[in-house]
Formats: sequence, C-alpha cells, structure tokens
Amino acid sequence: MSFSRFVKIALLSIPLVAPTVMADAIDVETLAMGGFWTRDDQLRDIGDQLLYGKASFFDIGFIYTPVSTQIPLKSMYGEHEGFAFRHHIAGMSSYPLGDNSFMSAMLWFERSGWDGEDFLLFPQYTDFGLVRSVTTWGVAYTNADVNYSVALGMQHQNVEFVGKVFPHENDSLLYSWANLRFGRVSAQAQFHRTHFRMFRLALNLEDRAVFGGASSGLWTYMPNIDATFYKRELDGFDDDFVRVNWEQNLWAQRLYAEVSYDFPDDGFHSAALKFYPDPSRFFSIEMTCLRRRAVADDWDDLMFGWAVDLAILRIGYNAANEYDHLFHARGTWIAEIHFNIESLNDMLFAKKGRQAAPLETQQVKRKNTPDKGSSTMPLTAPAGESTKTITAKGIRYEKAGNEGGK
Amino acid sequence: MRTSFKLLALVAMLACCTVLSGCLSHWFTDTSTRLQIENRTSHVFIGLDIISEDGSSVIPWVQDSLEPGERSRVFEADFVGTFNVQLKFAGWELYQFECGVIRQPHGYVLAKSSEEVVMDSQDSSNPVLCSVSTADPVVRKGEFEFVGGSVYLVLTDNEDGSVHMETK
Repeated sequence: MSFSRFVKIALLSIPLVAPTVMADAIDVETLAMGGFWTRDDQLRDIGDQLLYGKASFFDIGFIYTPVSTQIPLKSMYGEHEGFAFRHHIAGMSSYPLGDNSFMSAMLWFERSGWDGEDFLLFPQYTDFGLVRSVTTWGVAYTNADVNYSVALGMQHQNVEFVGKVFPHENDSLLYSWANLRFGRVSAQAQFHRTHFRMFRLALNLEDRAVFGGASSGLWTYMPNIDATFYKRELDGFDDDFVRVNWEQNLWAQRLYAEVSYDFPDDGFHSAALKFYPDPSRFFSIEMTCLRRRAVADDWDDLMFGWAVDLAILRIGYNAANEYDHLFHARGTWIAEIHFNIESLNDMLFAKKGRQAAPLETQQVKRKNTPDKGSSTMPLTAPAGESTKTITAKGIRYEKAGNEGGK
Repeated sequence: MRTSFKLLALVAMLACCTVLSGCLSHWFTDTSTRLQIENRTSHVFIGLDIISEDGSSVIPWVQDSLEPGERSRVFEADFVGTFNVQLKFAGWELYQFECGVIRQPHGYVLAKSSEEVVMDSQDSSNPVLCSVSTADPVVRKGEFEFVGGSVYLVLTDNEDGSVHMETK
C-alpha cells in the first residue's frame, strides 16, 4: 500500500472511529427498564410469527461492540467503562397434526444487560453490572382451513446479577401470555400472576405472497397497524399508555414507512423509512427518526440514525431499534452478528418476510471437464472411430488425442 | 468445494469474533483497577473514596494512612472509567505545649511536625511546638479517570491549595 493511500484511508476512517470514543453513556434507570422492553419485544415477535401459523423459524444473534468505551454506564458515581450486551436465540417449530391443523412449539431467549467485560456464556459480574435473562415459551395450535391459531405460554424474567447502583428489581418474575389470531387479526395479552399487564390488537392487512396472497397489486398496499395498551407503573404511580405502530408498504413491498405514536401524553415516538432490496427481507437499509424527551428536564429532540442489515451482520448508528432495545445507546456504531430464517411450505425468507427468497440453482462445473479442442466420445459410439480409449470405470470414454499422448 | 471453503472461512471469521468477544477480551480489557497511591503532598493522606454526584453515597477505596512521602498498599476495585473522587487528608493545626506537659493527642502526629517540634522534655524551660491532627479531615473532591489495570497515583500539592493527581 502506498503511503498516500494509507493516509487517505486513515483520514477516512477518522469519522468512523471517532464516534466510538465519544459515545453517550447509558443510564442505570434505562438499563433497569430493559426487561420491560425485552419481554414486549419477544411477545411482539411471537405475535408476528403466529401470523405465519405453520411456519418454522430460527433466530440467533448477539451485539458486538468491541470497544469498552463505546457504551459506558452512567451511575451516580461517574461513568463506568464496559459493555452493553444482548444475546438472543429464538426458535419455533411446527408439526402437522392432521391435514390442515398444526401444532407449534416456540422458545425465545434473551440475555441482556451491562457488564465490565463482554462475554458469550460466562459474565464477569463486575460490581456495577446487571445480567438479566428473559425466556418466553409456548405452544400454538393452528388451523389452516379456518385460518386461526391459538397460543398460550409463559414468560420468565430472571435477574442473575444486579450491581450496587441499580434500583431494586425483583429477581424472578413470571408472566403468562395468550395469543389469538383469526385471519389477519391478532389479539395478545400478558399477565403477571393474575394482574393484567398488556393487551395488543394487531391488524396485518397487507397481502403477503408467503401466506398465499398476492405479491403485487392494491392489497399489498394495505396497512399493518397494531395498538398496544401497556399497564405500567413509574415511581409507584400508574403510567399506562398506548403505543400505536403503523407499517405501510410504499413501493412493491420493498420500501416501507413505519410510524410509532404514544397515547395519551407522549405523542410521536419514532418513524422509519426502510428499504428491502428483496421482499424476503434478508437485507435492509433503514433510516430512522426517534423523539427523545425528558419531561422532568423539559427537553425534547429528534435523533436521526440509520442501519444496514446484511443478513448476518447489522450495523446501526443512532438507529431507533438500537436506541429502544439496547438501553438508549446512542452516538456509537453498534454491530449485531445475527441470522434468522423462516421456512413455510417450500419457501425460505427472513423474519417478517413478504415473499420467498429467490433461490438460485447453481450449475456446478466438474473439474475434469475437457478443454476445448478435445472431444469426448459417447459410450454408444462405435469403437472403431477412436484410435485409443481409456477406460475410467463407469464414467466415460475419452479420446486421448493430442493432449493425452504428449 | 470452493463454496464449502468460503463457508468455512466465514464460520472461522465469526468464530474469531466470538472468541475475541467472549473469551479473550479480558486479556486486553481490564475490568478493575489496582490502585496504589503515593502521597507527595505536605499533608497526611487518610483515604480515597468514590462518591456520588450529590455526595450522599460514598464507597471507600483506598483506606491507608500515608505520611508525606509514603506509598499505600494496593487496593483493587471494579472502577474503570471516570468517577467522582474524594481525597481525605488529616486536618491539622499547630499547638504549643509546655515542656513536660506534652500529651499525645488522638489522631495522627504529622511526620513533618518532628522537624518543628523540639522534643526535649528534660528541658522544662523550652516550649514544645507540636502538630496534631484534628478530628475533621480536609476533603478534596474532583473527577478522575481510571483506565483499569495497575494504576500508580501520585498526589502532589498545587499552589492554590488543591491536590494534583497524576498517574505514573
């Protein structure tokens, strides 16, 4: 590499590297609230998967932030260097019971939090870390004839370790959930013991080819809307709210707009413009806008960000998804190494895919294909036409010709 | 064969990232700081604490008492980052005592005082100047970045009376 090229690359990489050392810290309150959003995220995922009914699904991934200054933790003592982590694995498997009825089993698992050292299986448990896992499991019955599904399950939240600086958190929470779908209308509810916690109504009106619907036309431009009522307590007071999400196909199931709005008080939450080069959704590029606000401090701003998803790697910068699901991490590059795939009938597609992935049939050339100029004699040819034959057991006869003899 | 080789290379790359992320990062990432302090101030150092912004919560870290010029033992704690630090020094005043009535007050007698004190109890005509510590420590607060690993912190006096902290 020439010196000038090295200098150019070094200069170009400065804006890429700089944000990683100037990232904003996440605060302990947001980290403590993480379990709430993880539980909701998993149930939302399950609701989406049950739309596909008899599909099988697998999803695995982990956040990769290699530098310990990327996502520091802000506590009352100062700013701790370390790693926010989020590892997840999820699966759903469906089996036919009869001609048109299916049974599905599902398991969603996520381990997330913050620790002084990054890890895959064995955390460091530093004094100021928080390691929490959320497991959601359930079974579903789907009838493809009448097109309905019923699902029931449990959700566990376990706190493995809570550092000194975090608010008190119950170390073991048990929830139950139910999901009922009829056609494209789903209802989902979550309970903590006998207390109602969440109710979601989802209308997925957009036609999808993977359901056997159209892959183009007016019906693919129908909206997908869901409204979720959350029962929440903040500082001992009820702080219930409703979040409404609207997903709208703008162009050929490749370009989508998403808007999220909180009622009654908070108003606009986020908006996104997402481009999927293929409707199977293995790849995507998204631009997001998220509203950040602190009512107590009387400030309000909009954060713009983007993310690129390359099937096994997602890289985001200030993207709304990372902000919402990684403890309000912002101001740094966040990479997620992940993979998800869903199969339904003979189709393969990624999470929430609209159409099957275009699978190419690859022509494999045999290594011993003869070069131009040589001729291969078919087995049926009269033996007299060749001057010499080589017998390669059961494969073919070949003229030795010029190449073979020399 | 070529496809499987590519797949293998991809898996190997992912495995490297995974291993670096999960198993080896502690080889070059410190999750705790092993702190040793050298007191080059003119006062007796009695402790270093990490405190909350509002001062309501204190986590003691280094709890050795150091005469000027002394070094502390090594104290390890999970503090890597930038924190609010509180340095405590023994407050001291000068008292004059008559010879023969020297009494050892509670607290620390500054080493520095030995230069000033005439410890001649036999000569009752000479007054004795003695430095003693008072009950209330002098506290200096500030923000300091601990990079993790082994940290050797040197405390020196600033001209304005504050304390300068520097790692060596």
